[in-house]
Amino acid sequence: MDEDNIIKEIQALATPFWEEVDFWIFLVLAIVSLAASIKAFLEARAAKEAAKEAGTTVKIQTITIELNEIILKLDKLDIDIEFSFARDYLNEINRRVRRLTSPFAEDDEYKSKIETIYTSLTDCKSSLDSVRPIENGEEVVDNAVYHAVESHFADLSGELAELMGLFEKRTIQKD
Amino acid sequence: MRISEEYRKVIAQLIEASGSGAIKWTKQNPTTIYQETRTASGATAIMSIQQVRRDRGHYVFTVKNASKGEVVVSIDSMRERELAPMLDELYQIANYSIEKRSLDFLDDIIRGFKK
Repeated sequence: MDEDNIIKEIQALATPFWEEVDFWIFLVLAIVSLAASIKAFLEARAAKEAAKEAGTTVKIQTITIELNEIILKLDKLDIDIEFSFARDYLNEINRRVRRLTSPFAEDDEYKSKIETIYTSLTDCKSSLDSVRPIENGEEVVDNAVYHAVESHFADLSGELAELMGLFEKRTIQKD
Repeated sequence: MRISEEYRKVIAQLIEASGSGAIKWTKQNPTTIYQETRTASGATAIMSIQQVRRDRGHYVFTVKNASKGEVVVSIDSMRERELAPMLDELYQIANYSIEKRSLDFLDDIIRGFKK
């Protein structure tokens, strides 16, 4: 090998890699595959979020149906309601409302309304306690239990309807 | 004269009679007080007042002719707002008269211990 050839070989070896066509081909392929991976990741994440949101929407619709049943129950209060029946009735409503609403109790959108509902449930209980028959006492005055709980039940019914409205607003926005 | 004016007069008389101890009220439950009496014509009358909601000054006052099983008077202070203060006063005085009777009885027990 003569001196010129040696110099040429050295020059060829000294060429920076970014000046090689192969380098750019592989770089473009690498970028394209990376972009495809990122896109696939983002789509998978969006699909997961959508599935989660769909699950929440279905759950909220189920809760809304159950809240509606409770409201109808509250609105059909018998004027001759007796204390023991009212106590069981209120206990059931209290349990169902708290079970349905507790998962959303810390959610900013519902927090305030749910707190109002819990206060109303407590007020209903206090009002019912205020007509608890005195031991061996005679039930002379009619409808005392009805008078005690009727306005509280009306308040509670209205508040539950407002919460239903908030739940429905959420499902409408997602549709 | 309006009917509520007539009721106002009657309630004022009940307040006075309760304050003097002429009416003996009985507690059915912590917020419902009644008085059972015989009218001049021999019928049994039940007069009651219930504190429905203290936060709203809500009272229900009823008079029932127990012999016939019919409610003769029913005043709801949420509808008859102008009668609410008088019903509040009647309830407080009637309640006080019951408490006073209970305290007198307790006092009687204590005096029995001291003998």
